[in-house]
Amino acid sequence: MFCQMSEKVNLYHDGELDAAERSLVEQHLQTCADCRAELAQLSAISQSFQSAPAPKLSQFSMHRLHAMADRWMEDDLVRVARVLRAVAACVLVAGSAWLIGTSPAATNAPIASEPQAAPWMEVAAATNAEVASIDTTTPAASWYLADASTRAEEP
Amino acid sequence: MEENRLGAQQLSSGPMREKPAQDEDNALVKRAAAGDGKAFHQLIDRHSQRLFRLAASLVGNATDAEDVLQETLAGAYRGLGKYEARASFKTWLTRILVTQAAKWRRDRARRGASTSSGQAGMAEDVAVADGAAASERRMDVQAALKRLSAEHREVLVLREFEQMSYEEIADVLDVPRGTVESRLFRARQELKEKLKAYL
Repeated sequence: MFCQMSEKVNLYHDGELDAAERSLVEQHLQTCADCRAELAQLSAISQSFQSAPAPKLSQFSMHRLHAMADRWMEDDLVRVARVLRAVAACVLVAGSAWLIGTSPAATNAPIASEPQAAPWMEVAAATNAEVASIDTTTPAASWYLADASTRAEEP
Repeated sequence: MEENRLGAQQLSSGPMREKPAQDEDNALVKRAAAGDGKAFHQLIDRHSQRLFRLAASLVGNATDAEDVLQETLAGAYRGLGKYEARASFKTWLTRILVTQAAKWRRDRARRGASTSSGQAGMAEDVAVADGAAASERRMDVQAALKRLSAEHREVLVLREFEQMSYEEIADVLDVPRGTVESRLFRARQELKEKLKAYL
């Protein structure tokens, strides 16, 4: 048998009714055997759940959970360190660019002393001078130039 | 109107009893979100056993329950900054766990794994927890629970094991309170049918 108050009896069992509705259900229970049986069954089910054995996490499992949490925290630190490293690199690049942009040479400000040329600039200048001083009238040079122009004319 | 009255009833019963625990949780969450590792470890100690029991009831075996619990705690750790204390931390954690358990079910269905092996594992797990004192009825409740649909199992476990109010269950499952009422009613009808011999 199914009484229409059956759903209300469930709510009553779970303490989900206000005082007025509770009172209505209690009055109904006095006259309805089906609902009394329903309530008894609900109580038996709840009792069974409450007394059911609870699976427990072992000490080893708890230890493993804590170890995992430590790893998440370490991973977080590594991520923060990476972000900081990237920020530091950006600051360095931006700072360098700013320094170059505001240097006396770039702004044509009066120069206190002539900057010395870098060693590689001297070498480059010397090499250019040597090239310019090559005498193309020497036999070897003439032979080389003639040979090169012959090769250039070949198909 | 009825909903409001029932809501007021909830405030004056279960949830109020848990207020000090909630306050402690909230304080720990605040510290953990600020980078205090010890606070997060304390939260693990306070909630893991309860969450494990819930996970085991939802997925049906201890091994998978541990995986679901780990994912739940990982999700909680990542989301600490987003926790707003609108719901209790316990409810918030439970919502993450229920979501993870649903994800586990979807993954298992995708892999096409059979359910029988997990269910057998759970039957053994719950039996050892209470040793020789476990009665046949207790065993049958667990077995019957596993034969229910995921929807019915969720709502029953949250109500009967977690002692959650309808409002809290609605919050965890993200469904209206009326859905909780009807789902719980149908779940109990189904469970009673399966436990007919014992009731």
